[in-house]
Amino acid sequence: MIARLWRSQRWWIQRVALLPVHLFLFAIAVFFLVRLIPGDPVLIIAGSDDLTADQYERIEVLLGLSGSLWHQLMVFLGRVVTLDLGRSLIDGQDVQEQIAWRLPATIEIALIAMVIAIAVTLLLCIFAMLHPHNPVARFAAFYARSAGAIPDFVLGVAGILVFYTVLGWAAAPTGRYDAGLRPAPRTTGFPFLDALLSSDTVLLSSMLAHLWLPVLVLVVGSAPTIMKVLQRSIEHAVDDEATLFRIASGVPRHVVIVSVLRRASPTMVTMCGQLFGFLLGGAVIIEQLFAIPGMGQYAVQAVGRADFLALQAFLLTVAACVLVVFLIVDLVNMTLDPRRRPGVMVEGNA
Amino acid sequence: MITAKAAAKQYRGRDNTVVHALNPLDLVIEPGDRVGIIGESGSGKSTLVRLLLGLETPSAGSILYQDGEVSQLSGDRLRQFRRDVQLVGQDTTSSFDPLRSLRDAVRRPALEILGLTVAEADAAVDEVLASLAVDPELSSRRPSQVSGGQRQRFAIARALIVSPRILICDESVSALDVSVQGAVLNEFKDFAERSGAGIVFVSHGVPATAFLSDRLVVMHGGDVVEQGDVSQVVNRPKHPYTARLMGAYRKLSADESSAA
Amino acid sequence: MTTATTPPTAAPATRRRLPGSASMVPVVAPLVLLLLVAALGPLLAPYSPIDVVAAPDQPPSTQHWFGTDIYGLDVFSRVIAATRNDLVVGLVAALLATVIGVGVGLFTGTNESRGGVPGSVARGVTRGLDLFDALPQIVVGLVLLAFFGRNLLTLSVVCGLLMVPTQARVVRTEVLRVRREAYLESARLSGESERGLLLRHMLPNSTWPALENASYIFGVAVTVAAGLGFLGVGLPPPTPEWGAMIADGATAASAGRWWSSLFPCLALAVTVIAFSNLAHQYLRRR
Repeated sequence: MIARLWRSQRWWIQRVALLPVHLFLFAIAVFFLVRLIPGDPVLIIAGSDDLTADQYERIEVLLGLSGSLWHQLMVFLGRVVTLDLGRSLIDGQDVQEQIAWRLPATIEIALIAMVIAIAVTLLLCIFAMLHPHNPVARFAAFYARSAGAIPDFVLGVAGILVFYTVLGWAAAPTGRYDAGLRPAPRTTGFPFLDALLSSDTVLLSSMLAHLWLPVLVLVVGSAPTIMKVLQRSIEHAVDDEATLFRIASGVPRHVVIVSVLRRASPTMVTMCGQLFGFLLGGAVIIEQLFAIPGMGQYAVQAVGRADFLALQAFLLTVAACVLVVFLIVDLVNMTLDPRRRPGVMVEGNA
Repeated sequence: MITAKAAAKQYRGRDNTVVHALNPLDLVIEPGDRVGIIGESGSGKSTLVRLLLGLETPSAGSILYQDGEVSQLSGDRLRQFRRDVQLVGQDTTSSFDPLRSLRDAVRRPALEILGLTVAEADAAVDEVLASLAVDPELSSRRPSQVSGGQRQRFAIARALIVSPRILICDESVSALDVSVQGAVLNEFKDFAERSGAGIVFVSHGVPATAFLSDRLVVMHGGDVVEQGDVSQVVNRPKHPYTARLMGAYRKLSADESSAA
Repeated sequence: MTTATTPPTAAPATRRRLPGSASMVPVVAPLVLLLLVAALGPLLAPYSPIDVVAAPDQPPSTQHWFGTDIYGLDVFSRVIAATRNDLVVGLVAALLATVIGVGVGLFTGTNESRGGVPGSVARGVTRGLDLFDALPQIVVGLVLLAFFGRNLLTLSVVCGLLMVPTQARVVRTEVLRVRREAYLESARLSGESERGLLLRHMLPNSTWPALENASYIFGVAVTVAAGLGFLGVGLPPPTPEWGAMIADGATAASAGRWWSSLFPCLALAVTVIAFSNLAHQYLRRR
């Protein structure tokens, strides 16, 4: 009974169990990366050469750089497991507290942009599939081909110039809402969601006015990459014999569309995972441009102060987010297509 | 020289299903033999060829060359095996590296197997090309720059340059134009008569195989359904599958002789 | 039809003719222009790119073709001087990523399906590169630069390392394709050693696409470098670099002084499009 349950449920249990392993391996990689930093991190952080032996030792312990390499590794892994990422030596703030406060804001922007980018991409691709000779379809193809040609920050500067300076449609790029407004009470940690829940309409409208341009920039910048992939997989699905058979046998159009999309869906799910990583990177840049307090701003500040603890935590956090998204992508794909489950296909699942 | 003893091959397909590509089979091939292996695609004949050449390991049984397991040979013994047994394959387009000249491909066995110097190997290439009536100028070209028939002659040259004692021809003429097929078949026959080498002619076509062989092996669905002398298999088949195959062939040749 | 008149079969995918000269002009001309500007940089710049030469925030004029920025630096001179820095990053990154990527891709592609230690190492490396590639490039680049110093060399190397997974994946896919080719078996029957197979056949046949991909990588590397510069974590100021210039000009742009941001934007766009065109021109012929 239990054996049978294990056999039928093994695929997702195994995949979920892989997440901590990946995180663990990544943490070790980061640990050694930090040890490769040239020069003495203690002196860099202290910002001067004349430290008393006592001061030096204190900083060394705080950075987890004291004792043998093995001891250091154990201390480091212990801190990662207990989510104790340390207290920044520069501003004295708890690193994990800062991240817990900033991460939701960044993820929120990335997720909103992701949902809109996927919706726009789907609509454009379906339209292009149905009306291949329409100018809009041609524009979509051209737009998809231009993937990555214009970086996010160029789009951002152009967007601010056009929509804020010239047209005046967007609010000033100076944060998440107008100065003088108070943030919504913190319930979920996600600033926009909190504002929605608080039903403070003044705050909400101000947030919308500040949010739409950064989101638009992210969507315009990231949509081509997924559009290219989706267009190609739709083309494959349309040329597929099963689809041609459906069309030839006079099945209603919406049934054909649904079947084509179903065939293209594993590619789409995989692509959503990549899109999330892409948008996370984009959000880091966009936050800087629009002065939105999030992970990106935190990291840029940390670079300026040579705050290694903060940077190490930043890298680990972003990696953890990406790994979780990878996990979700894999699980969804395994649900959609049982052939992708481990142990089923030995070769060729790349 | 090559002995298959209850050699079989299974593949693990998708969803962990087992595909029996070749069921246990016994076969002895000596220099001077002319063995034709007939079967449709999927009958296991290509698997048999790959086993005989040591390109794959049998899942059960063994393929022996001078009492050594073919797929385990190495060093000098492997070189000796390659010198004795060569292949003219089916696909003329993909059996040559597209980035290298045809001469390079033909020269390679002379360098690696016979251990000749480059100058000696080049002389050997010219000689073997001349014996096949191939313009030596063509050898500086890339595989894509000559016709399919020419390319197949280079494939033959590559096999013959080491003067093998057994030549395996796997669908060697199937992809060629009918007009070229006859000429290539004659090359094989000439070579066998000249050097006393054995030929294993693997094909799905009865006429060409019957033309070149003394002994026929008929394969179907991974099994050998019948083997014996050409005249016996063609004229008095025992197995219904062979009978069906040969019936069509006999009718065809009868039509031809009555027309002539 | 006789053998002699049989037309050669269509060229296989790996053989390509050089594109016609007429169609190459729009692709090559911007590249030549960029390389010239990068090489001649200081000779073309009318002012010092790192010194204050005029009043800040002046619009384009006959003295200052692209205007001056918030500090009073000449934008035209800086755009010119930055070309060399940004192209060096792209070039070194593309080279490094291709060399490492080819090595890694050959290793993983040939060993992946094997058992034992090499097989598991190869599968682990492939999975690791996938995970590494899933991380936002800008995030990894930012942390690595902060750790290992902000200069032209580390910036180029970091951008190159970020591109290794892409190149390794291209080569690996090609190796997996080439492995199934009949000519490898022919070569084996011709007595070639495994090493000979790898060097004589696998390496040349599977690296072609990576070389073509290198021009695409060049564009991405320049974008990432500019992105890091934009964040203020790239080359330290006042080193001229397009991304940093765009960031410096962004505030001015939101106040309507568009020039100090627009011109480096254009330079970056021309570079990226020129190189991705080169890639497109080749990739289309595959």
